[in-house]
Amino acid sequence: MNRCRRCGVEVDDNLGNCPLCGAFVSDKTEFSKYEYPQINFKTKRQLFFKISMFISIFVIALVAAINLAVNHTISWSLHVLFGVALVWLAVGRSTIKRFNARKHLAWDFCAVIALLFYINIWTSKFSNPWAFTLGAPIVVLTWATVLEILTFSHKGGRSDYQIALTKLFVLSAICIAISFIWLKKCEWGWIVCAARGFVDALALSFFAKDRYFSELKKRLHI
Amino acid sequence: MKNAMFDKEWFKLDNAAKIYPAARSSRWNAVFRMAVVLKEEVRPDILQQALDDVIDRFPTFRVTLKKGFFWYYFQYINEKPKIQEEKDCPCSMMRLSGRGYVFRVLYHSHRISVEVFHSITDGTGNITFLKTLVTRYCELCGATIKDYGDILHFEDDPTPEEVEDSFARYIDKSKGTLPRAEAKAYQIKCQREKRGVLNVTQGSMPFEQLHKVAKSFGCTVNTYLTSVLAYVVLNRQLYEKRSKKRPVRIQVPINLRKMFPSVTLRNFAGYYNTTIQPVEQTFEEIVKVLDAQLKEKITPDYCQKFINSNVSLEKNPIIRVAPRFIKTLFMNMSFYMVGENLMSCTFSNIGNVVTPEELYDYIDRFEFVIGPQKYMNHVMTCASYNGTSVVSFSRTAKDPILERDFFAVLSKHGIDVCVNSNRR
Repeated sequence: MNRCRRCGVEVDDNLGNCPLCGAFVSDKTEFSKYEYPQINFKTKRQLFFKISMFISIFVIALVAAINLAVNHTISWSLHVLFGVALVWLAVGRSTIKRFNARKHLAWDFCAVIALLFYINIWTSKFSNPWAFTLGAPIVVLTWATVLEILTFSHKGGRSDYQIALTKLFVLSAICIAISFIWLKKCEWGWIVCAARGFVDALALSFFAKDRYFSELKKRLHI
Repeated sequence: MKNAMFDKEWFKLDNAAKIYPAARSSRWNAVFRMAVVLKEEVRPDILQQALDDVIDRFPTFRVTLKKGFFWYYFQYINEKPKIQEEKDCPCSMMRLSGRGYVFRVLYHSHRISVEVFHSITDGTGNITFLKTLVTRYCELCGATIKDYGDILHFEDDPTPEEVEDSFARYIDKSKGTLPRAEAKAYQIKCQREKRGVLNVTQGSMPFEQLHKVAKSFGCTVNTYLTSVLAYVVLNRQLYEKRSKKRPVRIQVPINLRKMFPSVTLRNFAGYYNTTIQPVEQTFEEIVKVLDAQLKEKITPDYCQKFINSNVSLEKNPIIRVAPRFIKTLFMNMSFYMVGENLMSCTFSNIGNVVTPEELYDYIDRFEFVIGPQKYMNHVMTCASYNGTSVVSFSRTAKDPILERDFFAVLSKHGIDVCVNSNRR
């Protein structure tokens, strides 16, 4: 065991310098049962995330600068900004977190809805809100169908699917309420969505009663 | 698959557990480690077998964390956990994605570590699990144990008392609650390490020497170590010559099982904040102040009020019906206001770990390490076993200022300290 003269403590055999003051204690280090593993701090995923983020910011800044220089205002560069944001919304989660097919799918469909709303705003300034009345319900119904295929082609995830259907019903009900308040009429697209969610939830509560209600109970416990 | 213990596949988080998933961040996720250093190198195949044997004895460990609409909850996992080779810093970020376990068993060289997310258990629960695991491991290595003592035997059935939420059991609203408002405390100025890096410095020393020195100051080992920590933090503040002096506050966790009989393996710990005013004081004066605070204020009445405060907050009807994302915001805010920002440092002492005598030939020492904190940069812990105490500092700060001063004081008091670290 080596001794650090500065700190007055003994230093473990595997260390050549005192961990408290950094003073040199020995050039011969030996194995110690108390030693910790050597660590490589940089992971590929972190590096990939940092590079992607840098490229995104660089592209946005460059395009905005060109737009300002040419037109003296920010106009078409907003499309690039939105495009980059959309790519991050669709695939960004996977660069940070572990890949989860169901969550990835949900984010992808969110990106599609965002794109529809963006096109709707730029083309008609939302005077005819087709993205809300038609586009979003079709995307949501497609999401439910893809999720259904995904669930029944695999073993697991049925409880998540049951809850997804309930969420579909609740989301559609909220959108029906919004269309009543905003557009003063009932949008059939959302009614179809709500009906899909309601019929499926009803079927689940009938055929898989115990499973469905226990799933609701644990997720909604107060 | 239903858990035979609960007769259902999920259960609610206990009172103290609820703050951790909500307040976690990219730097902090409330992971702490209990480790044991063996005299022989760890054999992974035997360790895996030992884990397979003991996991069913601890149903509260066999879970994953899931998100509900109002609260998080634990769901039973069917697959058995796998041991992992240690490759990261101690208490590195744990994925709480809703599929994997919220604890991990790691091995490296002679060390077996159990790292847990604080929501499933506290220090007592974790050390109980580790003791059972190591006992089983040693048995598989050839040890014959006559008397298990307080170690839970892996073949016994878990009892309902071991999985209860003892906070709910011991609430007594008539005793009142604690005032939470306290002034901000001094925290050592330092440069932070990058995300994911935790520096651990450990000092091992003979327990006898520690006990003798503590006795010479007329206090317990726990009070002595708290006093040394408070003394070095106070001196650091006086050295920094800040214009605005703040009190030095050391958070000391309390095992509530000592005051309220409970054998729960879930969270049942409170804490007490010891405070030293920022004026020049001798070490003896600090010992006197802290001894008085720890003796006089940690009473059943204080602990009862602590339980009441925690439970009344959880049972508040407005908080209960708020969706989880609003609760997360609220809890993050309260964690900032009444949490770590009010503390200079935390000192947690698991005490003397007792195992059957037959294991003395297999086990060298026990260690206790707390992971990176959200706002604090330094945490100190202590674990003793078979005449050796190990004081561990975990820090997200770059420089080992606090531990250098701390071990210098111990050396000055005549204690032989041997230090090791995870950074070379």
